[in-house]
Amino acid sequence: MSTSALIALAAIALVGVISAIIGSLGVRVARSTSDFLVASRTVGPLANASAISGEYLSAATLLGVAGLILREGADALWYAIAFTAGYLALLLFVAAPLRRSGAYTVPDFAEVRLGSSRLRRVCTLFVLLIGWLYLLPQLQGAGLTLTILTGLPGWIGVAGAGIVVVLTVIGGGMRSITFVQAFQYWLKLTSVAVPALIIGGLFLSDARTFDRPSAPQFPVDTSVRIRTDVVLQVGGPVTFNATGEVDGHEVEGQVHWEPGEHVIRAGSSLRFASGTEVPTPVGSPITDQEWLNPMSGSAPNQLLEIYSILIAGFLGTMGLPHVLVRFYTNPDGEAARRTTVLVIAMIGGLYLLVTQLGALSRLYTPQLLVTGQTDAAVLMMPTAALGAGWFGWMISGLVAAGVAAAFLATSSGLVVSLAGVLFTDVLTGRLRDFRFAAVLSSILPIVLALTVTRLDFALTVPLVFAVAASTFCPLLVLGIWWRGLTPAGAIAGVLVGGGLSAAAVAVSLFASVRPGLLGVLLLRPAAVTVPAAFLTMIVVSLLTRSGVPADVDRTLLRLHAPERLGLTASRFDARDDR
Amino acid sequence: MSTYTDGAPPSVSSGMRNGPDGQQEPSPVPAAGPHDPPQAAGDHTDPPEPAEPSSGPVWLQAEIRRRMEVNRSAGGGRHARREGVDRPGIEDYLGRDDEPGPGVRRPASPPAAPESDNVPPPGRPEASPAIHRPPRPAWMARTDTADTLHPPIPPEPATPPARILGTSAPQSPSGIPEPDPGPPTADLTSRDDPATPTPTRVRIVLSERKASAARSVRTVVDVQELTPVGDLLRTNLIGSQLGAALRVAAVAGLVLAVLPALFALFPELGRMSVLGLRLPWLLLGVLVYPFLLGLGWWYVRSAERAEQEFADHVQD
Repeated sequence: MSTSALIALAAIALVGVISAIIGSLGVRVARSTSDFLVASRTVGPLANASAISGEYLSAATLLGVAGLILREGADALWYAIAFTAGYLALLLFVAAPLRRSGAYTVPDFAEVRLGSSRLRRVCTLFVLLIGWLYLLPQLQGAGLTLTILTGLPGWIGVAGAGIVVVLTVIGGGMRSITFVQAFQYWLKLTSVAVPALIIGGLFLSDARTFDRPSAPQFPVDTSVRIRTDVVLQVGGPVTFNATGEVDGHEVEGQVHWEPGEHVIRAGSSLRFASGTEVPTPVGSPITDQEWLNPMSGSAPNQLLEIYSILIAGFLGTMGLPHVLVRFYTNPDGEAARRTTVLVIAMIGGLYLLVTQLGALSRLYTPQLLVTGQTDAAVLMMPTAALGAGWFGWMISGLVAAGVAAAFLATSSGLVVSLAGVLFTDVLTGRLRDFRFAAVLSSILPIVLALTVTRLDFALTVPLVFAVAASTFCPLLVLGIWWRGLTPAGAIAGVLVGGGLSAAAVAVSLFASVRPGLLGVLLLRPAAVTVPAAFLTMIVVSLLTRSGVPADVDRTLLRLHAPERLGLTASRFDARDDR
Repeated sequence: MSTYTDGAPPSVSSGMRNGPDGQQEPSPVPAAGPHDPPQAAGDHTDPPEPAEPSSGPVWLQAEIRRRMEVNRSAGGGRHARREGVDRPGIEDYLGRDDEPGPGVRRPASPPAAPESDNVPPPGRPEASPAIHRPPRPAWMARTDTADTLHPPIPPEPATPPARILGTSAPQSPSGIPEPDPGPPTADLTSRDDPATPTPTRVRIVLSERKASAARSVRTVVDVQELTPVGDLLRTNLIGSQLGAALRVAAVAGLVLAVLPALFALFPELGRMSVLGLRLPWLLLGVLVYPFLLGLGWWYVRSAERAEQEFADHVQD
């Protein structure tokens, strides 16, 4: 194993160990069940905001956004915007009332507001679905990181990440998770900021430019192994050496490509000389100049795609179970609001740096365009830009640590919230044990991650957001702001939105999607499913008007009145006494 | 109490209007003769005008009082209970008034009271202390004790009534036991139940004072018990919060939704260079984050303001 791999492994292990230490320190503070689940609601806004950001900025979004920018250019900026704007929507419509509801899972909220146990079961189902769907790319990403940095097989990364996550959660529940995740946010920020500053400085002193009428060129002689079938396009004639199946022929030796599209089968290896123009995946911009401009690729329905991503991100964030559970740790509604503003700043700041890294990766790691593994851009940048020396390795190790922290933070947050739901709603009798629930909630995604082939983060993450936006967003928004919501309406809306989006997920994950309007809508269903869910919820509620809960006014008062007035007793206190 | 009411009727009319509580009976009556009628007339004409400059809260205050009045006349209010004994007298008195009927007139009067507070400050304060002194030794005694407790009030005729409203609450306790011989006391205890001991003090001294203090107790209960007043306050709070959220969301949504369309329709925009960065990269990669942060901060400010207003109405 090479030195760089050892450094990266050591950095990742260090993150795991430090997380475990912080987690176990937190255990001493965790006493009651409420301690365990919602950190006693005594976490300060800064710590809480760090934890929320740490949890939210998954490696999938961190690596995925940079990779998308490398491939798509200006159009990919919308992903980061959607992920950040999601917290604005959460702040506007959900944060304070949700905290005041005194509930700590979405099913809990559904019951507080509508008092229907059937709705509660439906919500439980979708919390589990969304959580598992989102855990999948997280764990697979851990495998990708390990493979790229060390050359070890990916399953070790998946299994290792799974085990560390379960141990952290079992160790101390939410309380320790809060501090662990706060630590992980700052680690992530450092691990992105340092290379962004160093490589950014290098770029400025280099006098290189993006504004070129040609495709990016391989900076050095590069060999590329193709792991999945790809369709590439070139803007000018390209000559390279190849072994494997190219354009339907077995090739061994030199290949000459005319401008156009070319197919390469998995298992081929290509060797490009320094200075050769880099072929790009079909549909994405070819030349650097096109890449700089918005709406540049040749893919159809780009505008629809952008709007769909914006809707999914804007409305989907509030529906993610691990995001919601965080808000219960705020001391009151006002603190929840201020925390969210801090979160917008923290997430925005980090995406700013990630955007910069993604753009720079077009210069330093263009070979990823050929393999299709653009998600690895951030990981490979340091050694590509700084050279394979100790300096490059150390920075690379720092990035590895940050990415590992990102995986651990999001995964453990997801496991906590899933375990919380399993614990309160599914498990009964002797099995009703939080630790058991934690193990149970992570087994399925670990197994799936080991067996299902990995897809681009750019594909999987927006899908999860779309499901969340089509189920819990309408439930939360209408539940908080509309008096007329009925249990029947809520159930119908969640089922329609969730059913449609889940179907889209299934089709796009397990079947090949044809390009075109339908294809775009299958991959980015939010533009259709979210309005459908809202509409169903409203129409069915209006039809079943008699189902409006009798205590709706009292509930709404509790959701909106400031706690300091003492108008309503905290439900949470009552719970504590139980 | 009842004696005042019964004895005073003829001249009380104006005082009655000013103070919806129906307790104004006592003092304003006799001395008010010269001053009050015009004042009352002014009260009735004034409301619309002052309402224009001072916007939302004033309207809300007026509406709150209106609902409280409706509530009370419906028999559910504390006052109704309390005044049960005096009922006949009051009704007689009201009947004599030139306005159509109690039900109609009462709702109308409350808005007048707050407005008049703001508008004719000079006339009012003069009137009230002056009015109170003459009637009876008992009242004198009471006001005296009040004076010792809170000297500012009598000597400052020019003080805006609003101030008087504020100070009134602590002042009145001394007065309570004296004027309320029997039935009222029982009622006082019942009134204490809600939580606050202050309500009792308020009762007697001035109509305005009563109104304000009554509100402070009531509204907390109102809001909790979902009375019409509570409904108003709650829906108003939710409405203003939703309004703030939708305003911010509209700005964010509009900007974010227009940008992709702009770049699609006018590709040359995407090639513009500002500060060494391409316009789309500058806007979408950098400036959008401070923009979102600013919107968030804006919302937090307006949401907290709305909550503060709600709290003010409830606690007063």
